[in-house]
Amino acid sequence: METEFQKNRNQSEENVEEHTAELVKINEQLQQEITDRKRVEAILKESEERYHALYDLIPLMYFTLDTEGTILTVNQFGLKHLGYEAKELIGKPVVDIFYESDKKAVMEKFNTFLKDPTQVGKWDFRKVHKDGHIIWVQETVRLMRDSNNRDIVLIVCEDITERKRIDEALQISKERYEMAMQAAKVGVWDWNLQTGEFYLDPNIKAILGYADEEIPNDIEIWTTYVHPDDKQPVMEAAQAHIEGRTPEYIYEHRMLHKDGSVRWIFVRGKAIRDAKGNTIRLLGTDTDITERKQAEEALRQANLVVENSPAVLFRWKAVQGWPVELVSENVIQFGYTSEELLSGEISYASLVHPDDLERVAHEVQKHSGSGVKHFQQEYRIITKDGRVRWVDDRTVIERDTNGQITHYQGIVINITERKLIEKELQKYRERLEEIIKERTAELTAANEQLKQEITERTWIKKALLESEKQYRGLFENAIIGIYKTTPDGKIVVANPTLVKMLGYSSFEELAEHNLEKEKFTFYERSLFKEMLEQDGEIIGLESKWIRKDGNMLNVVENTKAIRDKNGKIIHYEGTVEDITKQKKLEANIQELREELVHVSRVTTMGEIVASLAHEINQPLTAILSNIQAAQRFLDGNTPNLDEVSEILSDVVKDNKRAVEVITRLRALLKKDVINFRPLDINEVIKEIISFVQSDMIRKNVAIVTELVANIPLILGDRVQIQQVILNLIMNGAEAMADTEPAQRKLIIRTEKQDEQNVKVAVQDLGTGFNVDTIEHMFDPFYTTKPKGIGMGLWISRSIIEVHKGFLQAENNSDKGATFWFVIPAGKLEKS
Amino acid sequence: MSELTPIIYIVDDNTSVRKSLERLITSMDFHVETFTSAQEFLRFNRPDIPCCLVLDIRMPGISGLALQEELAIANYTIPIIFITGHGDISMSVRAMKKGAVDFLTKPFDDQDLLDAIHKAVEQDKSTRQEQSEISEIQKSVDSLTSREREVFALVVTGMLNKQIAYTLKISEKTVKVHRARAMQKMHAKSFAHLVRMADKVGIEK
Repeated sequence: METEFQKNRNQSEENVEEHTAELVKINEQLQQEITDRKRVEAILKESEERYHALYDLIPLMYFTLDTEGTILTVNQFGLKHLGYEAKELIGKPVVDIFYESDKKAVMEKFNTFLKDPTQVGKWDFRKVHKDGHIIWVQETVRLMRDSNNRDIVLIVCEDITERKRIDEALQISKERYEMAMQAAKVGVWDWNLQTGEFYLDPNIKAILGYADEEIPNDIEIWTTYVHPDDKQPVMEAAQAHIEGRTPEYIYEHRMLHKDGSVRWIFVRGKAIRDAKGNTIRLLGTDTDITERKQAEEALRQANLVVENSPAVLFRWKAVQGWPVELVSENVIQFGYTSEELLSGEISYASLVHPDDLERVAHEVQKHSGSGVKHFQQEYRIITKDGRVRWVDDRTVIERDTNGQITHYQGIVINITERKLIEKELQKYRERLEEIIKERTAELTAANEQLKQEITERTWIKKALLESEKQYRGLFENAIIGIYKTTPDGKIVVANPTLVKMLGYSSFEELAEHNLEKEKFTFYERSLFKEMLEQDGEIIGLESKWIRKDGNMLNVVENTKAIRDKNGKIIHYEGTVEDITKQKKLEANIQELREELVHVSRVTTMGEIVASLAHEINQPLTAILSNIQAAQRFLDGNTPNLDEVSEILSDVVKDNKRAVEVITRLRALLKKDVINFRPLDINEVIKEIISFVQSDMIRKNVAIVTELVANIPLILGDRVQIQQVILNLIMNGAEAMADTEPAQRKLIIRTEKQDEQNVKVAVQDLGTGFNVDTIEHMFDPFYTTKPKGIGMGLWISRSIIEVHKGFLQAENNSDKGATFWFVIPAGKLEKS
Repeated sequence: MSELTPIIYIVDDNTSVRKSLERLITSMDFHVETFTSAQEFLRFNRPDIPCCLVLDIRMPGISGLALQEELAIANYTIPIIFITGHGDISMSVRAMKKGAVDFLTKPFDDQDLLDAIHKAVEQDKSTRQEQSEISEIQKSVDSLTSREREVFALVVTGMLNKQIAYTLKISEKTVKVHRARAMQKMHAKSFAHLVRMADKVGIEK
């Protein structure tokens, strides 16, 4: 029993201990909680104070309302801004402080807001200051719960009066401006022909910059504002309609603005007639179309650029043969008229060189399928008279809304000249680098220039691709100068390129000068004007212009006379292209050509160097042997002085001969400027034969001369003519390499073609030439010899051409070929 | 001048060179004959006097080298000194291979020419000496009877009398007689001398 009790007691004690521990723990938690709350309370208090300060200081009006719309609180700024004390507002309906005519709308907004208080309301209304002035406000409204769990409305209200005022002012001035603009564009007029009464809408006067009262409603006075040049035709047009000769009175003419500028007016009128058909009134409208006219003028000037440029604009239909739908007039440079192409008479495909057509078609197809917008090609075009022209074609692909290709639009630029120069330069570069290393730098420079030109052209091509509105940009940035003057020399238009080309800083500066009265061109201007009067245009005139700094400018000019209806010239329009660079390039090429002539000559001389050594050694041998013989004679016992004297005279002769050979040789090897002198062609031939004689002996070639006596003198460069004959002799000898040695005969013949012309022929008995090669044998770098560089015949021909003659070749009827040239006989003239 | 003064032939198409060479060689105490072309030289009837040929290599018509070949074909031995305006190595090699004495490049020194001429004339003289010796021997050979010639031909091969007798099917005594006669007719001083002479004229069996 006792054990039982003991057991219970122990149990109770255990329980008490357990509870006590629990109580201690709870107490600790409570302590902690109290500390936390105090800290939170401190934070909250601080926050509230801060918030209060903000509430009163911020430049926004704060209101709290109950759901009835009664004001509960207002912040300090709100009271101050509206001019009230707190007690005057608190407890009052908020609607009271709104502008009378807004009150109904305010209530509606407020009630709508309360129906769906989850969203934030925002509205603009007018409030009234205590002193009565109106304040525009923008209110942001939000529903909240207060500490008593009641719904309250918080309104944040911003003064937007100033903003409203500015907006309104802006709106008004904009409307006024538009109205004014509208008014100034068109106006009506009414002319009673019976009473002479004339009504003129103030709008029309406004077009010219006048107020209504500044111009009286009088037809006579009104017509004085018409541009003097247009007055007559305007009146005639009106008269024609009044008399019933035209269905409507329509005319575009110029009028004079108050500020001195010219405005374009489109007039449209209709006559009102009585029963007999007499016109009693004429009424209609005047519309200001100056802007349109200006746009048209810009377009016309842009067209001028296009028509004068090497770039032809095309629009082709994307069907077989590419029929032309649109083409610029300057397609005439390929010999075709725009009419021929537009009528479908000639398809574009037939213009393309047959060898290029397949490639062009293939490329067009390739690009069309690839989805690109534009592409570029170079190919050849055959002009109407059969000449070949290289063109650069930049094509834009036009697609309809379904993505189907409907048209191609493109610019085709004649780049033949560029191609030729490129080709020529290419050839020079490839083959001459080794021979004329020191010229490489110059060639590179020339090439650079060319590249720059190409870059410029590429640029203009791109610019052309752009739409009409960019034409003006083209006018200003064109690489050619464009101008328009009056016949008495006033400069009306000049693009920046021309201004810069002539060395002026601005168009205005240039326009102060007179193109006719001051010295702008190097030629006689009156003659030029006479030609222009006669032909209407002068195309491709190469001339020189004078810059502001007095320097000369090499240019190509195109000029057109613009006439009025009566055929009187009113303007000159023209383009001026600076070709100074091009000229320099040509000069470089000329220099290279001369270099080439020299190099080729020296090369040929190298081939006969053995022969030349022989030619010099002969007299030297004779001299040495003679002198040594003389010494031996003099050393003898009875010297024969007559013999010695004879020897010495022979020595002198041989010495002269040696000197002569060396002098001529030096002349042939020297690089000299071309020097025209009267020459006896027979002597020239004999001299060159003396050089090659020994070489010909070695080659077993017999030279036979048939030189006609009393041949007229030719005017030429001895060295260069000898070079030609030397080339022909060497070629002839070469052609006979496979001929039986005993048969190798070269006949050099001179003839009097007639009194004015001398013919020189070199005839061989060799293999003759293949008929196919005749087309190419005068081309540079064309050769049939394994070691030849192929310059000989090309240079020979160019030399003869410089001498105003011609060089030709033909096969002999039996064996071999004959090369012959004709040079005009000439007297020495200073050129 | 004695009859033995050598003649120098000059062939050159260039007049002033030809004339100056004529003077120079004359001044060296030679006889000189000049020709303007190879054809002219070939037509010339040359006397039997020591000589040499100064020949320009490059001439129209028959060139110097062609003339050299032609003379070789005609079995006419004459020492040739070539002169040329330009030192063409392949040409000079060709000329020297065919027996030219010298090859002079214009212009040349008189001493070089003189040396070359002396060398050429000496060569011609010894050739002529040889030629006359051979014709003397040939005369002796021609004086032999046919049997003497047969024995002579076998003797110089080094055969013994006994062998010769057997070969010719005659008695040894007869061989001895023919041998003694041949030695006498050939003016042979010794057996060795006889063999040398046989070598020069090319005696065969």
